[in-house]
Amino acid sequence: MTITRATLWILAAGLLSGCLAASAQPALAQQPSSACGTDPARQTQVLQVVRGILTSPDSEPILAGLTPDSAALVSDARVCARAAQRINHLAGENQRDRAVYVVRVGQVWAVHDPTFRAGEWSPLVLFDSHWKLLKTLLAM
Amino acid sequence: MPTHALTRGPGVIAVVGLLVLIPACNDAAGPQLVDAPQPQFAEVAGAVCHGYVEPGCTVTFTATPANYTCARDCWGLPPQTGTVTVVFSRPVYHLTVTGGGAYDCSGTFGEVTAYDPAGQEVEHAPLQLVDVSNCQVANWAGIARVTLQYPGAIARITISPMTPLEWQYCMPGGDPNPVPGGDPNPAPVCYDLRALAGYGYDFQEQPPCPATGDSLLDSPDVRAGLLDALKASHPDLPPGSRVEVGGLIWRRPDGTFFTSVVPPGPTTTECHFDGNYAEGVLHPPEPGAQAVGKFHTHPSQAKDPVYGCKSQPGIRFAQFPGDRGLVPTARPDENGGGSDADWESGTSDAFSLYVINAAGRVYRLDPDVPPDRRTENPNRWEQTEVGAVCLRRVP
Repeated sequence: MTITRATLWILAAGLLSGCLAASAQPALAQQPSSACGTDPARQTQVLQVVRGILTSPDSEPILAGLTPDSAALVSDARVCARAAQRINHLAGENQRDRAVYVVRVGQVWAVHDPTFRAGEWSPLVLFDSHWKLLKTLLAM
Repeated sequence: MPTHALTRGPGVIAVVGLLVLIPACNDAAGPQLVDAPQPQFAEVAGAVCHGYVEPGCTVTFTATPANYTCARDCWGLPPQTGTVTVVFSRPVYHLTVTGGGAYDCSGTFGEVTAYDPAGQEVEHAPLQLVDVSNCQVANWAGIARVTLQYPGAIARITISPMTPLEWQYCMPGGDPNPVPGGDPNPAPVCYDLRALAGYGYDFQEQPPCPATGDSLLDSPDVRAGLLDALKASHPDLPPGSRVEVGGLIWRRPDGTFFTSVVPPGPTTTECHFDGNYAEGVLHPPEPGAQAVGKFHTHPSQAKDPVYGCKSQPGIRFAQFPGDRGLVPTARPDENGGGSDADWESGTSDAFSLYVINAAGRVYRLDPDVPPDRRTENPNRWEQTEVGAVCLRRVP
């Protein structure tokens, strides 16, 4: 049997994805359930706050050009897990049951954890698509 | 002819009854004078300015004819026979016209017609006697007044004369200084009286504030207290130099309101107010006062960096410019004008929390509002103009 270059590429890709899946699996397994917050009132609140910022005359430059329609609540457990992990990192904690509310706005993740406090505020934390911290907004 | 100089105290319009007594034709004893009444003082509640330059007042006026003005000096007023026209140097608001002089109680007392800056007539109202007690004794009274109801700007008024301009007053007991041995039943002594009035004006130089729809914010003292707190927060200073200021709103037994500041607590910064409202409630600044609300300021403008946020165990927020740590950004108008902690503090003690932010916007955060209804908070007001003490509800 001749192994073609194309076949090698397919095998390599398969191995790589398997490795990625294997490495991601433990991280997800650490979450006892989805890290997505489930309180409907909080979900609505976070989405409204993000949309309010988008329509504000003082909108954030990193959200420039985005319309309220571009903001959507995220229910993907993997995204919420990653967001919770980033909040944990920010807070210097390893809180396993952290429940976060994530809104996707264009290429930006807006994350809110009601237990994460800055003074009297519960910030809305903006990350880029690579989960690099962009801004911490004292919006809630 | 007796005349009296007007005297006045701060914030008080002084009017004096000036009585011109002309001997009646049946008075064989020749001209007689009766002592003019003592000056009467009328304090006009809520009056701010009077038409001459004094602290906080710059509007003046021109009256034609000129000598019917009692704003400052009222020497030798002639009888009023025609209409007096008063033009203010700038439009005024909430105008009260007070005439001081001599009015026949059974007559009319003149009418004020007000005009707006465009020259349109906006109100026409009669002066009314303020104190009729002298009418029973002598059929004349010394003060007439009208407070115009028109809420807008008034640039000019006219004041028509009272009627009658002359009348007769008879003293039933005869001459008050009888000649010894004279007639024990003297005929009444009558005098011809001539109407007089000198006019004083009380007005506000700024438009009156429109109703806010909130009983506490309708109080000028509460609005002033919020503005004072904002000023004390130093929103005009750079980020890192500001501080949240908080306090309580009180109701006096007479129904009026006032504010007091709550000591800030050791960790208060521009990110957080740490005052102890509950402790403050226990110590009314005035006897009988009851706490009815609380307030605090958010001194940062939207998008400003905010320093001094209380750090969590594993995270450090920058405490001052140049400090290492996370520097959050202010978004004071989101979430219905308050942080979640602000909203929850109202729920914990059942007091509404008023928040005034650096843009002069005021929000009322009521207790028990769930998170999904906070962003749509309908209780929000903005200043009618920058720095103004008036608020209007934001639709």
